[in-house]
Amino acid sequence: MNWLNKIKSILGGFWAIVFSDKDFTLGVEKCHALMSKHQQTLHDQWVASGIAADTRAFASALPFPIWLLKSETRVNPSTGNTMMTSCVVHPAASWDDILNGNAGLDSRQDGGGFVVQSRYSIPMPRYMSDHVIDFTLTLFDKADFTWDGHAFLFHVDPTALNLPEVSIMDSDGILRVYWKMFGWSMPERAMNDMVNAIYSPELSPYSDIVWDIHQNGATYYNVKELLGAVTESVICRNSGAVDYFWTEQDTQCMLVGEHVYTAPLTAARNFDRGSNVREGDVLFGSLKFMSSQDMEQSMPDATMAPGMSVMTDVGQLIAENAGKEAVEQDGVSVLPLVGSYGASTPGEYVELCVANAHEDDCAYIPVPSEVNPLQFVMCTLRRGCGILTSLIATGTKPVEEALECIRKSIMASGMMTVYVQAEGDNVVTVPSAFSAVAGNAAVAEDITVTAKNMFAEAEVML
Amino acid sequence: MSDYTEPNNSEFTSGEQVILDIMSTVYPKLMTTSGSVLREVVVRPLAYVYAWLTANFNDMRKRTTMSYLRMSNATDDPVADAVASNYFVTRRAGVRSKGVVTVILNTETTQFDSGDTFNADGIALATPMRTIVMGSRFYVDNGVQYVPSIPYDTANGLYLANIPVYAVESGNIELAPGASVAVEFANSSIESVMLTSPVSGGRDVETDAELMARAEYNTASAGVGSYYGIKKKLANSPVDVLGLSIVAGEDGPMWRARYNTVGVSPGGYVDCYVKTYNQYAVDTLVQTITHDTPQTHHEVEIRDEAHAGLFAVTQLTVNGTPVTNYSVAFGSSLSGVPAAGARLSTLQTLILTFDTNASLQELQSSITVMYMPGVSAIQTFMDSDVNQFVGQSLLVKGAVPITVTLACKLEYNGTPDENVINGIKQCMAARVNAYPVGAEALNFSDLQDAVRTSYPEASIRLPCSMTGSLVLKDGSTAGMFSTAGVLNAGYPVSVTEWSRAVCYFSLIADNIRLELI
Repeated sequence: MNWLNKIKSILGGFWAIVFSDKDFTLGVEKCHALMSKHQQTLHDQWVASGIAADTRAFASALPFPIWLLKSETRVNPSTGNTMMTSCVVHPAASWDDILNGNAGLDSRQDGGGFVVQSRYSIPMPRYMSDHVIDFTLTLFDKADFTWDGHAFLFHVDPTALNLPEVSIMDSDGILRVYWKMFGWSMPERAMNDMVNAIYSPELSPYSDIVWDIHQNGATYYNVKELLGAVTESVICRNSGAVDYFWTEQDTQCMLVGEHVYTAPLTAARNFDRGSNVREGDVLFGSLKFMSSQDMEQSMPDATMAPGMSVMTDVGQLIAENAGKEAVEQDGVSVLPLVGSYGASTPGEYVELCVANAHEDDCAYIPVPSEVNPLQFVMCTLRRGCGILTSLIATGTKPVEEALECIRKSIMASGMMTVYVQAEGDNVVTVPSAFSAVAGNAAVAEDITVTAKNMFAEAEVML
Repeated sequence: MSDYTEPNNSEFTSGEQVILDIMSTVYPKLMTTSGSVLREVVVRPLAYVYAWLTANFNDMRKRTTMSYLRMSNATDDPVADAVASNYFVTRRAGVRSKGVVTVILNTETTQFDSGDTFNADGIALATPMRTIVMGSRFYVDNGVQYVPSIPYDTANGLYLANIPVYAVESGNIELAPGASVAVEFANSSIESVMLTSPVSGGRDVETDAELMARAEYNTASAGVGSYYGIKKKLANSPVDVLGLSIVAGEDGPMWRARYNTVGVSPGGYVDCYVKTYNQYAVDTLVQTITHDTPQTHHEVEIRDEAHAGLFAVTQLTVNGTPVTNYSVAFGSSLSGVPAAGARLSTLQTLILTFDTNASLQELQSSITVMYMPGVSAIQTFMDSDVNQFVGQSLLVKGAVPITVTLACKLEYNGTPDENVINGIKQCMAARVNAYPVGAEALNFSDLQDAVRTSYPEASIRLPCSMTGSLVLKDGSTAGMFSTAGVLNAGYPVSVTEWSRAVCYFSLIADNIRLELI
């Protein structure tokens, strides 16, 4: 690129007239051109160095201006009087109400946010400053403000911040005063791009965990962390006693050792003050995680895990979470599985088991006369291979994507059974959504809804 | 890399604001209003540079995102190569298709030089090395391949030999069995030549999208025997794996895992269905059958490593005479694995039953089989100490092709010549062959997209009749048909038959009929 010519065209003839010294003119042009060439080289090196896929370098290098509408002043054409209106909305209404125009100024209330509109469409700032360099004020995303793509919700009063202002008389005859700030769009996580592309944008808020699963494989711990994250459950990261429990606005907080854990008020609290917790415990939320070892000690409640879908050579059956008597035929003790609609042990299945028991090659697995079929499958048959998970999700989409991610990275010979109770979704649509998207092996194609308790049951197999 | 973009007005305005802020913060008394010298001489040029950087950074960010590159079919974008290098993958060159040419010889022994060329429907096929037809065993020794000489028409002194060949040009070349073949070298022993096996397994230069797909699993953990882990291992397999499906746990086709007295999978079993060719490969298996005493009824169990996981038997010849009435069953060579669980793997055995008019004690049989090449080599590779996953019993099996034929209408802006028509067919076939193993259905809209992308002046239209045929578990053939634009792979749905998870769609250009409207 010929930067000298480009600079000449930008400058135009204006200053050549002001300064008639051609050497001086050429010198300034060369200065700009040299600097531009340098920037171009940096750009090329940046691309060539292969960091292009990581947005960090770009976003932290180039700030962008943010103009926030402070006030509007209109002139009454008949009287000539002016009327200034503050454009900062300080309501108690919900974010949605504010943006949909359902909340007026009369709904102000202490503790609510301050809504300010942006003049331009801008990328999401991770933090804002009052100046590009030598800034004295910094506001951080989530802590000081929230950005929804059109407007800011400030958690602090912007009128008290003494922000730089600029006034513009717009073509509609309204004088608008803007606060002028600068945004820095640092990416939330470096591997967002990969997570978006490989998995789903739904999982990008959890890209650290997803990337850990992708790169290191799905483990008991990172799977728990991901499913916890998508269901707003909070996993403990240290051991100790629950020292304090308190609430702040719409958040509940728990102090364990030196760590504070927070969750929405709607999340279930699983430990009281004084309880001892360990790393991996679910402090808040609906997530339940059990290995076969845990289930040997105590079985999960039947409302949490009503039964497990098992595939046999005569079709899909359910291993119920209830005490049962084994079926005896021809001296063979058969696991009391039931049909999908609660029928007693299907005859075909009994015949298959009896036939297999009389074959020399077939692996013999003794079935006790009194048995809980779910516990037998998890703890005896699949000892060490299985995990049972139960969760409540307000939307199934992120859960579905999380299961897909786990499916691709979980050891193919392991098994994970996930029970999803959907809130707010039509439960009937859940199984089809799972089976359609997950496919292949991990989230098995055979998924049933146990109508009795409206649980959607998904088997994660790999 | 030197493909730059110009900034737009809003980017320039944004840049101007940033520069103004810097100047007014550092030197608050400077006059920077519009028209001032500083504004015109310093701020505006700098704002342009800033805007230029912003525009080019943004453009490059877009072009270097995986989401963007996963949609790109370009094969020569250096930016994609640079991004791929982040994930330790480099673009693969094209791969040649391979196949087998069957020659009928008037002598029992003959030889071909390396590079001797056959021409099959305009495609040059060459022998990969010096080839000698002799004996009854295939082997390679010291750069020479020895191909068995099979009695074909003993009365007339004719012999048959299956000569491995490769396409001289690399790329996605597919030829169906039956294509006419011409010999382009001198050899008086050759009576006739046929293409009895498809020419398949070739691949074009990797596209950006394919490159990104490899980057996806290349960054995944290989230490865990997950879908990604297995896929990553198989990227280094001695046989090129074009697609795979992992079946495990409670999946319907996991037949061997449920072979216990409760009929429920205990976990630990993994079946890996691989696609190494787009079509069925066909070959002839030469077997000497020996009985203790002469007999007319023959039942023989055959285990053949080279054709492990064969799908079906298409022809049986005994002592040079075709046998039309024979039955085929499949068994297992390993105790504890039922026949259903061993099917299509190296554990599978072929049980062949037929009668002859005369009592015979020793028979020379040649069995023509359809199979997926490379299953045995991949199993050996995955069984090696360095590749085995702890706690996993992994069995490699051949994925089942659904051979598709298709007829639809073609609308073209102008008059397409034969090359264009063939190109459109190739483009449609390539799209179908790019479907993953386990795809639920073949969708006409995907073919429309493929044609629209490569030939903007062409458009394929409904109605579209699609047929598919596949070999079932018992070796018989089943068909499916659709005029709705969607061919569903879920047929036949049954716990005892194949599941779509183990099948894939296979289409070659010869099986496409386009009616110009």
